[in-house]
Amino acid sequence: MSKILSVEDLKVQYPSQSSPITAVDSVSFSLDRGSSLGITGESGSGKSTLAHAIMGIIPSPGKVVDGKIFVGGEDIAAMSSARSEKIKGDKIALIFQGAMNVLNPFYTINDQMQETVRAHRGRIPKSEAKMLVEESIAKVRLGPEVLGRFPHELSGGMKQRVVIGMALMLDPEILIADEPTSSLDVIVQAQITNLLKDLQRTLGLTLILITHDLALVSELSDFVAVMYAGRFVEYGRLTELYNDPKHPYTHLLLRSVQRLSGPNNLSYISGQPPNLQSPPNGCRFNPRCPYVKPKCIEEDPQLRLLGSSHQAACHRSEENIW
Amino acid sequence: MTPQQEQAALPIRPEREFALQTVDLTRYFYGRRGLLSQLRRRPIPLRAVDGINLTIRREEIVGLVGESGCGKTTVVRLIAGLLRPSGGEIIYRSGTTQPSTALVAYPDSTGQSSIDVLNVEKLEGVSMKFYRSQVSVIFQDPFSSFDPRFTVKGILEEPLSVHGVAEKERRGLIEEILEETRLTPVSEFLDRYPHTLSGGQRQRLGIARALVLGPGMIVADEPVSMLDVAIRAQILELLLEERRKRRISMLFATHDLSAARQICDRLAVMYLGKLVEEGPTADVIQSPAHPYTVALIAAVQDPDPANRSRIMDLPIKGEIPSASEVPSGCRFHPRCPYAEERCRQEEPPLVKIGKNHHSACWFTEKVMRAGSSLT
Repeated sequence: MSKILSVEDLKVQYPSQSSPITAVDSVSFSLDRGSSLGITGESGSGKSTLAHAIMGIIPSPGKVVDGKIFVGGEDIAAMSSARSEKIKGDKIALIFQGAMNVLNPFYTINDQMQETVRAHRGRIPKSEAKMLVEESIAKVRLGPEVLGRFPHELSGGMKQRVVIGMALMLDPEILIADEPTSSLDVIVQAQITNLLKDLQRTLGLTLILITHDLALVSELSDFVAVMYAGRFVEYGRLTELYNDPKHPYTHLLLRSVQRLSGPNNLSYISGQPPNLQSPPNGCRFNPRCPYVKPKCIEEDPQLRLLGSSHQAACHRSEENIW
Repeated sequence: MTPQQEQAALPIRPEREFALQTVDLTRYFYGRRGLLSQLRRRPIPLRAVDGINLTIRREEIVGLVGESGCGKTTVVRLIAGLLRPSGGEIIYRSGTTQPSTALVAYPDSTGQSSIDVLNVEKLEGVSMKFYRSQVSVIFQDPFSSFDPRFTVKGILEEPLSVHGVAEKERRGLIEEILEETRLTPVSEFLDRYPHTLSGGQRQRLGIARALVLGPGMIVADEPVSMLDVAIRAQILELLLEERRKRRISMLFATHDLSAARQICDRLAVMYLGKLVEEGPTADVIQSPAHPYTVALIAAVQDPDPANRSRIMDLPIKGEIPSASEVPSGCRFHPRCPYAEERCRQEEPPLVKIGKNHHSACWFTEKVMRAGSSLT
């Protein structure tokens, strides 16, 4: 299968008075067409920044200081912005976190969707634009009557469907969804999850899911990347990662999830993620890690291949201690 | 109301005293009246809370669960004394096992008998102030529920000064509560501002503020929903610990059944202003008796890939309607897979279906036979 997206050694930095803050630190991964990757981690781990870097929308003064982003074989990080815009516009769509809350209250859903078409396709015939809008609203299982309404007339779930519909309107190959179900209610969350799952399958989308919700990752991803302090600390197939985590952070994160079945569980990870301005020596997780040993403070563990695709950045991955 | 009538109105369970009870608690909201509703004779109310009987026993944690828009937050605000009910009563029994800090400031209320039953609805002035020292709130959003210009010390000192605790005693109480909520070393936290705290620390500060007056009851509105998964349990554990240590009761409002399950003794499921099911936590989750509870459980996603797609068959349609357009009959019927003609006509009462387990559905038996998606 061909790689539709490859990211190599991507590094995003924000300048600061002392040393620059590296929000995304040497991240590499690649995706097959039609596959799905869930990127997870605590707030501030760099998952949204990574998505924004792929889209080339890191807000100034932050910038991509190193690395390559190949979309369909072309490095969009190296080319002129006009050309990369065109490629991204055609192939990648991003659903921003909280996008449903920034629909413009003064325009109908139809106006806002038309605007997206015009911005990307220029002056296409009205009938064609109308068709695109109607098709995508049907894709997200909404009736055409929604088009004439204003955002405040729609429920949270309907607005989220509109936002997904907008992202799909230009027929992207890659869909990046940043927390697509957070701030929705349980039942609506399940409905949106089901919709995304269905769309991914029927449209053959390549999905990158950015979320802190491990249950959502499990519903929607074939592969999972766990981020901590700007880096991937573990990467692998969903089942591998769930059943046999090779990084203590993944293990502890999974254990922290409150679940509806099984024994009552009140485990958590003590402490908090490091300040990226002065990350700890050695492994960045060492101040919170219950399995820490002297080597972890002296030497920064690199991401190592431990199985066919399974990688982890821990000195003690092979010891079976958690 | 004569004392006899008042007694008769309260179905007190003898086995364990209640700390707080609501009797037909109701709160309607009337929006700003537009031209159209002015032309109508009577405005249409938004029935946020529509007759709720909820009992929280001493040292019990009750989970109030439901989607947004079901009225949970209004119940929290009513119980916290931040809103006045449109009808019904809230009865709070003081008589904490430990002397309360605030009691000192209320000489009339020091004797337990004189304030044994407080009917919140009728409280005014000093007695309302006393009630507020007894029933305190933890808010959902630890990022916006503190004044950014106050230091940690200032945040904790405010309730103490409002409730008349002498200045020389305040410092000790503040340090004690910081220690207890593990915002330590205390000296490092006293002069910090809320924006310098992490989410978890802020929520612990929220708990500290709620506890500093030594209340008998805490109402918590989604206290963990804004926090990272990795640290949620820390807050839940702290709440359990405080219950044990201070022997307080708690109402825990949340949409997250998985979190509620970890700490609640009983669950009350709310839909469009009414309770639809109520019972011991394990019973409600393992054998739900109301189709809405069944749907809430079915919608919970699980991190185990083996349970993937469990949410594919959701036994519920659409989304929760507005509380200003409450459907006829059973208010859940438009979304219910079991709905029949009777459900459209008659509203089912909350009836006993097991030991301490109640449900408001005409087809409870059928629902229970079908079982939940968990089993």
